[in-house]
Amino acid sequence: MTTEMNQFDITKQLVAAQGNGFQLNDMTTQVNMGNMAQPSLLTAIMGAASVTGKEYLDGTNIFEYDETNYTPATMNGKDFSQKGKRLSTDKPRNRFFEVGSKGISLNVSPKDVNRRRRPGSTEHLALEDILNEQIMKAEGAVAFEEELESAQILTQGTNRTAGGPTPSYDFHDDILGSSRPAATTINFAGTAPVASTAIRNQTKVLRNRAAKYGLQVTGFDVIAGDDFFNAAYEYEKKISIARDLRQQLDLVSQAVPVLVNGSFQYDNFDSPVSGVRYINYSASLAGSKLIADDAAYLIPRLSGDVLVRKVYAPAQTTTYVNTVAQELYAWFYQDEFEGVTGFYEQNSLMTLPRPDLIISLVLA
Amino acid sequence: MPLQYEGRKHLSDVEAGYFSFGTTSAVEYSFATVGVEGTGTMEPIGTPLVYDATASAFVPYLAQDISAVTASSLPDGVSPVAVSMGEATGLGVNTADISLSSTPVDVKVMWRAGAVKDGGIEWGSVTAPNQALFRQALEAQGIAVVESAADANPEFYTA
Repeated sequence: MTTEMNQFDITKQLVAAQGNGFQLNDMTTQVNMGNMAQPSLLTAIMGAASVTGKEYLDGTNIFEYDETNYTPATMNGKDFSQKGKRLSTDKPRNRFFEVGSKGISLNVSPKDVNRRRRPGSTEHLALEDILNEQIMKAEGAVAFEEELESAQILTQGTNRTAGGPTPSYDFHDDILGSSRPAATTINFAGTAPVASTAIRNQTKVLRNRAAKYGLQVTGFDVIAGDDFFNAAYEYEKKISIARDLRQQLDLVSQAVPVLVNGSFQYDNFDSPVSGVRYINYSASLAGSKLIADDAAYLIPRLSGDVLVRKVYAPAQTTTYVNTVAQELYAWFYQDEFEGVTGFYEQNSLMTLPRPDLIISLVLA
Repeated sequence: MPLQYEGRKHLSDVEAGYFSFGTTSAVEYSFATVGVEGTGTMEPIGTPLVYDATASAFVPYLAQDISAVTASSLPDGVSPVAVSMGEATGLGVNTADISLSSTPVDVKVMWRAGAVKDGGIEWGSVTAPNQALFRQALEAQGIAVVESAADANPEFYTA
């Protein structure tokens, strides 16, 4: 029997009352109290096609690429009979990185559903019900891992091993010879320089670095923790006070704009005076904030090449060994007695070929 | 307080696989039925058990000296530990907590050639060092202990 009550479409189903099989109770729609949060903003920003280039290795888990260099030279004066000083030649470099493996497994037994009721209904719980939940959880774990990988490459410039035996790479040190410099302090109450100039100076640093790599910058994002974002927001609001607005958004009287990713709305706003877009990210996984409250990371929107190269390696099974890698592997075995056993495997490495194109900022 | 009931634990919350010889040869190889004594109650699925020579039965593991057990009621006569896998009527049967007393109550257990999920074992107040000793005893009996995935505990916003 189905009864329409306001917006609810409630299916009435009668079940035996607990403790007394001669009484009936009414079973209605279940209420989900699970944690369905799936923060994935960094996966979306860092994983965008314009930011991350994906490469699928063919039959190997070693990521190898050549790095070319170009050192410009200046001319010197000479007399008319001389030929001028000789140009140097630039040496290429060959780099190797090892792609590691991450995985998760599941199993569901037919005994799991024996005499059990599917929540929210009077039907039998089916093997597929538990399997679907397990698959959702496994795929969620893969997505969480991608988010954690993105956070680590952004905030530390290193790859995430997730406790595995894969080598840990500090891309700034490995490629440029020194670890990422300490975060640049931004004082939103400061006057020398004022914060907007301090931020703009950092965008000029990035624009210069990108130009040296032969790349164009089309804009900048500052992915900021709570305190940093709030300080930038309050600073930006004050700029608009006591003068005519020259921009569409009045930060003083209008709500901060949001961008939607997944099932959450993230605060963000464009800062015309600094030339950046601030994005507030305060998500946490496993009890740790992905972006610390007082931290922010300035990244360029590039044209001409990508900021991150994400590399996938093939699984080492009969079917997939020595083939072109796929982003995710899954295997499922079904047994009449044992039920269903499944494994998920992802063999990936996020790399930063030009590690100095991310600048760490910290709130004063 | 309104009435509330929680779904009982599943077999695959603890059992992570077992030797296919038992299935293909139609024999009970990895599992057995043993008598369990003790006080209070125990969860039918996932309770770590150790043989108690004085009681001539298995008892829930807390801190007993596993190495001191030289004989048991398991089919090989010596294996000291096991993990409960259901009520006496079969694997995965879990209708209610089992009341323990000085009279043994039959319980299905895994005792060799299988795998258990560490996160599904009812450790209760077993200390970490004693948990490690129990895991070693399981491994010695051919039961692999599979680590459980950590809780991602995702939050979109953390104040």
